[in-house]
Amino acid sequence: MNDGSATGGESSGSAVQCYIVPDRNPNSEMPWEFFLGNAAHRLIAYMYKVNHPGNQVFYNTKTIGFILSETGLGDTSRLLPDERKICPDITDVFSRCLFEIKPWNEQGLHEGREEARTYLIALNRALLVGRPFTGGTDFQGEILIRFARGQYIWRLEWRTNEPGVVQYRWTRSQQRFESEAAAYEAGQWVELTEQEMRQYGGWVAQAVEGLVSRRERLAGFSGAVGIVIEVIGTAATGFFSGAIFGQMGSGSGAQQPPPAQGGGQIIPFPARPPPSVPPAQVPAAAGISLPR
Amino acid sequence: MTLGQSSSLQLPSFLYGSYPSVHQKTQREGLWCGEKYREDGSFPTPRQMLEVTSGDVVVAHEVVDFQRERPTWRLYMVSNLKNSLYEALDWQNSITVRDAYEAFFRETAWGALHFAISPSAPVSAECTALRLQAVLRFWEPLQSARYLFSTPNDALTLEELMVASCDWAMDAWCPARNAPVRTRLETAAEHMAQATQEDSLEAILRQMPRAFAHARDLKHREVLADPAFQRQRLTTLDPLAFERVSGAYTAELIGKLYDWDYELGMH
Repeated sequence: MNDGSATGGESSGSAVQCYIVPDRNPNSEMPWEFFLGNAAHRLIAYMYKVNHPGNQVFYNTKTIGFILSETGLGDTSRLLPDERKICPDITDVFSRCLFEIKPWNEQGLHEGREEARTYLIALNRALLVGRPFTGGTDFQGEILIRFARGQYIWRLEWRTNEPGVVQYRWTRSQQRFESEAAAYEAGQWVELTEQEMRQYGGWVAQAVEGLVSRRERLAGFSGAVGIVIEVIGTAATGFFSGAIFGQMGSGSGAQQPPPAQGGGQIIPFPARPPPSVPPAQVPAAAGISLPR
Repeated sequence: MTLGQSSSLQLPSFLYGSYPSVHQKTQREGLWCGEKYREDGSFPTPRQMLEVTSGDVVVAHEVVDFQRERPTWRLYMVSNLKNSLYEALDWQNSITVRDAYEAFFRETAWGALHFAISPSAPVSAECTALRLQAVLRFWEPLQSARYLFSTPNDALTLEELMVASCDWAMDAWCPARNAPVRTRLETAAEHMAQATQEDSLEAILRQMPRAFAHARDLKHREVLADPAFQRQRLTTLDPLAFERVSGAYTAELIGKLYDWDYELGMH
């Protein structure tokens, strides 16, 4: 089942908005590669909540010990010491299911399967009330992101490939498109190269934050709700770091990043939105402002 | 008497800062609470309270906290404090500790709000009445802030926050939708505080269609949708199980539907 019942299942691209990626917060203290992964995790949590508004759900900052204590469903003394601190990515208490989120490859599937199994064993051993927990199913969707007019459209796709394991992958449109709707209709996606991920990856998190504030329009693509989870993955985070520092050390190349600002790095976007872009098309995007 | 009651809204300083900062401070506070609880069964009042400027935004749910580097009020991080508290006590009697912590800090504006919008089990009629009454006692100061709860860029008024988080209680226990939110909460709390088992049963049955709409992948939808079946199942619950659903909290009712669906599949 598609997990988009809360979104109406529209397929028209007519409501698609432009998402032009703004600059990263220059005062950011978080290295952008972490920012990227964290933003992705937060997005999946948010989207799960959007799709399951009536459920009691815990996300990956909550330990199994905490979940059992808060819900009163289990006895934490039945958990092994290490098990009290483990945090499933999504634990839906009354649906009695959990999800672990991993990259869309064999290693991700293997790791996700093992982690989900570990969590289920611990939860079900401590459970005192009701049905056992099982691996969650049927959670899938996609997100499209446009960086600037006339660029490739990026696509983030996720699916529950086996119970309890959600896997994600990242592709881009084969051609340059003016809009996400056009790319979506063309439906031709290709794998991203490492160079592209390195070049654009830092901007993805910015776009993700902007997209979150417009979930109703995101849903307009396919009726599925998209999530982005560790878009590049843990292994690639290292790659990103290495690539950035290598780039800085080499002192060459047109894409050399500006000096570090509070530990963070900004990867310049080679094709900024042209000045003629109407202000009305600039979204909240990364600037989900907190009114004060 | 309430702890630190003030006409303006004040929150503990450990709830203000960037996410990493609040994470660290709440963890420390939880350990301190654990030490004190171990000593004499009480909790320390926060060392420092800060006044929330009128119109300041308080992040009240973790999933909408997207700007984690930005210093702000992070009320939802009370959960991190509690995790640290349980850990400090080696996870012994964590449910008793949980309840004691709530009873103590429900007498503060920030505690009252946190426990109303992020309730621990049981979300019973009795417990919910206490939580709503606590929020109502601090209504004026709590009104001075704005809250992020449902969407990351839409700060809610207190009334809107209570609708977003506790509409189930108002719908079940004060169906008069045209009344002001505060009035509805007062009525709901009053009814819940005095609720008999039959009152709860009626409230649950009123709310079952809402729970049913949220429950996915039920294999026996026709049977489960029948109010006679629901009533029969509810009346056979043991007292503890009935208490859990007695407030008609949507999430608990969804859980019951899944339970019954599972049981039907076993036969």
